[in-house]
Amino acid sequence: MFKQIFKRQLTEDILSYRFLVNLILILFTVIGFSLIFANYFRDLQERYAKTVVENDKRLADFAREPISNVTNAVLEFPMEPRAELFISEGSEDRLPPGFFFIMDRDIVKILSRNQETGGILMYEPVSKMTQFSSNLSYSPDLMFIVEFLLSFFAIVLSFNAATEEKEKGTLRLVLSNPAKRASFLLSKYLSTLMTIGLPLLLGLILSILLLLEFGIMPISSSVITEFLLFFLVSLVFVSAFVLLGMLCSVFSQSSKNSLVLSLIVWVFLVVVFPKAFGLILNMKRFDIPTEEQINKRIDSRRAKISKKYKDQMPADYSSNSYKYDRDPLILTITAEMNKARQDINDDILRKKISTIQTLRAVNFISPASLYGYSVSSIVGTGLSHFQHLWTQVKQYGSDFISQIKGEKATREHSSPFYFDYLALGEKKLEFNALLKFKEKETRFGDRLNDSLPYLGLLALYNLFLFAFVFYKFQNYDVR
Amino acid sequence: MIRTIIKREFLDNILSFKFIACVLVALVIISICTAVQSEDYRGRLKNYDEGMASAREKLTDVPTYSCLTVEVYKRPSPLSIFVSGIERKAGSHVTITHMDIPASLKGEAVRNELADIVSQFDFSSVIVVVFTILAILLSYNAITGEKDDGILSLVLSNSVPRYRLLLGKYLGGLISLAVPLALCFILGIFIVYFFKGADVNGKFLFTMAWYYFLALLYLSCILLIGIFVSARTKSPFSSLIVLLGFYIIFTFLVPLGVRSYADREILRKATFLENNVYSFVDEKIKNSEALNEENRLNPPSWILFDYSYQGYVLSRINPKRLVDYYKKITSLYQELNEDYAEKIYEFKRKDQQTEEQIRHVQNLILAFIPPPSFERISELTADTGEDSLNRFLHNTARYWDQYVGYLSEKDAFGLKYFFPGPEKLTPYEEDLVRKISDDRAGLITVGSHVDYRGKYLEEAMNYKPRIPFLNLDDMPRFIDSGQTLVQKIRDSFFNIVVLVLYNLGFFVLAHFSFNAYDPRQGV
Repeated sequence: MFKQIFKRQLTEDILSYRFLVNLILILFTVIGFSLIFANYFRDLQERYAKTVVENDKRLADFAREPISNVTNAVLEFPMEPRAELFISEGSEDRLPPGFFFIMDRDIVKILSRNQETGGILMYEPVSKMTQFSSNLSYSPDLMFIVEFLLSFFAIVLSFNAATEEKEKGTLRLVLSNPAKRASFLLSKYLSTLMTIGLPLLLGLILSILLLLEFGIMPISSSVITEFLLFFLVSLVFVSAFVLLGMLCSVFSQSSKNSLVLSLIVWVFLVVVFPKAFGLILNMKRFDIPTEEQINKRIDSRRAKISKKYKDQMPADYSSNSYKYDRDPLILTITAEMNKARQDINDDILRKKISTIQTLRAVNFISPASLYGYSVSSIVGTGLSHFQHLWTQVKQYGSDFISQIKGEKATREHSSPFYFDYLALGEKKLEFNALLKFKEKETRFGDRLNDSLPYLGLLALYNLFLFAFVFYKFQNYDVR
Repeated sequence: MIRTIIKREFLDNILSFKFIACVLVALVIISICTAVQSEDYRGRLKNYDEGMASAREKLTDVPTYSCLTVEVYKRPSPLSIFVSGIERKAGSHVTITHMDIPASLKGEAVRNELADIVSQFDFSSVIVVVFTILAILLSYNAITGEKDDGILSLVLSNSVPRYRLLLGKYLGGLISLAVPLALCFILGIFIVYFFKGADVNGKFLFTMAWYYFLALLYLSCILLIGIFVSARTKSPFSSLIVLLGFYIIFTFLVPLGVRSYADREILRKATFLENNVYSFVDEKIKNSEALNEENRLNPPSWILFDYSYQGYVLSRINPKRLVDYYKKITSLYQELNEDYAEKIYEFKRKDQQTEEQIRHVQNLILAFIPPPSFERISELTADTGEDSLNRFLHNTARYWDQYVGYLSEKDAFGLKYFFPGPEKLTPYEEDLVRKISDDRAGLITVGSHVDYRGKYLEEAMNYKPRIPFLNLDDMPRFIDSGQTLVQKIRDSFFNIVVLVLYNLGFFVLAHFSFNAYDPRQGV
């Protein structure tokens, strides 16, 4: 019996006009988006390659003449573009493009989007990424297609799950058979899910083929796993909307009401909630200290450090004199002060990230947001990419400094070698021996781990909705 | 008769579940958004006032022209409470020096760079999202619904011409939209007034009234599209699904495609500066080295700088020859600097022009799609969009010309560039200079220049003469007169005309479709 209902439902859905329209829409969107993406991705790769070359050049200069080039040795580490951006961009184009490492001050900072030029001699290129997004902006990726088109399609397919059958009178007929209500519901649910899964699968296959055609992505097992996982998570997400549609249908007496109700729910969960929660960021407690406040904080930390060493300071010490430039104590203090500055910077960045995470935690009401977060964590783009890059760059910075120190420095305390640059000596460094930065891809397990809370919530959402629909349908009046 | 239709339509609408749900939701979101955004606007206005004050204060204690930086703040637009646009993200001010013509704002408006990934919902988004849905829900069954209920045949059997019925339906729908929209506007203005977000003055109210009219024009367009689709389809379901499909495609999908295509084209094409700047910098360094070579001082010479004025100031304890050197060389450098600033700006302009061209095409395409077109109209009316930013930057570039003109008029790049105070040294200063020059053991060569680190250094660094500050009263000031309403209308004229044409066109289309409509049931 279950099989029959399932089969009837599936054939009805697949042969319907809405299915065809949806399929065509998805395929066209995939083609359009992948055309946009292909150009963009090539451009990103070129830029990335350019920065790698530029970094190598600076390192080579530094190796040739360490003293005179140490002040120019600023290495840039933008986020490496990944082909997975096509699955979910995770707003990567709106995040800061990456980090930079100032060698002589041993400091890692965020690459800013709109850098100011300090005159031509201190020229810092203005990032062309300075494009401001409007309020209702999204990224053209596969995730968008699922989030908007497929969830809408899910609602359209399921809003009349119960009401239509009731209106046609078939529901009574079906239920007069010895079929259980549960199996009727389940078969409806499964067939709708399959009707949606099919175009998605086709779209995914098409997009893999297109990416291959454009030479963006080599086929590998990890890519296939990612696409498969994306497919599964998308199904879980879409299933939430199928269930929501059914819920609305069970709740309302006529299809018309059910449609209106489910569409209002859709607009809220997909459009309004994910965007409206951004307003929370305007709250006072999420304020990030201004440049001045940061400087004040750094100054107070420095004052504390110099107080600590006050007794050991030579009596005639003054910051203006160069007498103690190479004094171990002064070098220790300088090192500590630089570390304090780095710590404060790190603290602030951590606060910035945690703000966004709080926002995400608040936003769990909307399955669309949950879906977005889990997909971008799984494929490792967006905020998680940014965070992982941060740890790696910091690690690289400290490794680099300790390598130089090990080779060159005459004293232990000369951690930042700016004030002790004479210690670098005139001797050349070996360029090939210098540490180079290569962004490591995060392990799959870690990524899965990142996405687990969101995925779990999404699954719970489904379970809860399913139980609710099931319960309601048991008591549904078929007359 | 038409009045009866309008009245019935209006009452039908406002008593329906969908209407009450949408309006309630709109009111709730609007009250939250407007409260939050007015708070935010107040913060930005405070930031602006403080910035202006501190910029003015900074001009009072400038010892030399090398320390002179002019900060120019962009006044936040009061309507940014309703249409946030890019104003929060773009930054708040520019710093103008003679070396650089700014091409982007900086500032603390968004201190959390990561917050860029979260968008802010505002009044205009409520119109584009909630009110558009409401307009669709009010119109999708305008014709088909009546047919289903059998009312249509009944009404048409009376002596009502079809166009009257259509007009009645349209006006009824429009009034049912206009009333809650007016409610939202009044609520918004009231919240702004209550939270003292912005000055609620005549100009503000007038602009809001104009914005209300534009919103209504947009919603009427959606309403007419709804009626048209309703007259072309057989059942309310298909009409609603078609309309919502269109809604998703034209509010989200197509604008997203067009915008990201444009964004990425800009990223790809506006690279003139990026590609040429490094060769330019190299050339500049070469030229300045050549300049250095020509005017090379005979070593040994030494330099002492004073850092207490947020910039390099040559200490008054410096050998006469060095002072002369700077007198000569800064003006030479300045020519180079100005030249390069202008050239770099030219590069930037080239990129900006590429960007503007691409954006122009983008806006032209999007003008034909009502929702993004309305978003653009909102940004132009509120003066918070990219056009506002570009206009401001354009004005700063013009101001830079005046500023640099003023500097060269004042002969800022002679001795007064680095060296503070009267040209002639006091006996004490002369004595100190001589003492240091004689102390040969204290001179250290660092890189390419010579530093003094001998026993008189402390005395020299601790010596703080009274420095007469520059009088900058006659310096040209930056004036940014905002857009007048007429200018705003002129800028958004094309979009508005397209909207009006859409209104007319869809009314005519709806009329013809309705005339050919078969009101019989079950056909």
